[in-house]
Amino acid sequence: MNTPRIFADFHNADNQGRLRLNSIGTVEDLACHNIELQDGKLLTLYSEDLEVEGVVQYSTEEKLWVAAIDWNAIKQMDDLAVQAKY
Amino acid sequence: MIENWENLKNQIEAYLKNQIEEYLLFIEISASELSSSEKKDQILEAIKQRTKEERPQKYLNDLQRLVEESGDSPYAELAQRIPNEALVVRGGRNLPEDIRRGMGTHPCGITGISVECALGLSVKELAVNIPHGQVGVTTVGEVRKTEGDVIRTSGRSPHHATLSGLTPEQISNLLTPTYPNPAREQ
Repeated sequence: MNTPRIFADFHNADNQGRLRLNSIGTVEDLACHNIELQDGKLLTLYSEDLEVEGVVQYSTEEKLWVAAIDWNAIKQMDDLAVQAKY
Repeated sequence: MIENWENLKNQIEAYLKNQIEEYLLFIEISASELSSSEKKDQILEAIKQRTKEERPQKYLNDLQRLVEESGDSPYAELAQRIPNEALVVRGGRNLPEDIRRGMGTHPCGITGISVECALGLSVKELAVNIPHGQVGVTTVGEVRKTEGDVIRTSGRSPHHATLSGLTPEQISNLLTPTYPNPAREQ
């Protein structure tokens, strides 16, 4: 299943390692795809040559939307190109 | 940001001084009602002496210690001024457009771009949590020379900070050229 591809800043994460979805580029991409965030929504998050799947959550501590990701599952575009080739 | 803390301290100090003056006035009036003048002077002097020992500064020191230990106060992060010598590291190409899209407002209210920054740590140590293949490096002093600042803010790592007060172009100039991420080299 194709999930929307949304920019995320991989430096901008909370103390649980969840990416904060409040960067300018994230807001721009969400608006471009006309996406309204909700708990459990799946997104493909990217930044430059990095990409990872994420699950949207609402952070009650910081009162903003975040995405839980597996930091060990972050792929580089080079990896993706190799996977597509084989 | 430090000025905010200093202003708060000054306000509390002025409040405490005012409270103590009012308290002393109240004590003098009360003591004047005592029948024995000898005892009245002794009581008054004892109270004044004790008040001097418990100066507002003691209360302020206790308050500042509590704030720093709790880490809950909005001033706790702001009070931690990062020294100029500390390295500032951010992953990626750090082109102006990359910086612009990465900018945002941290939950504590500071708007800027996320970076890794700590005094005494090397680029490799600061880059451990950076998944990008390349990193840009500057110092807190260089950021401040350009009229920006680097403020400690909460994040995934204890070295997370927010670089604020500069345009994407200025930040890009400080964080380029980029180098291979030393934490990801074989």
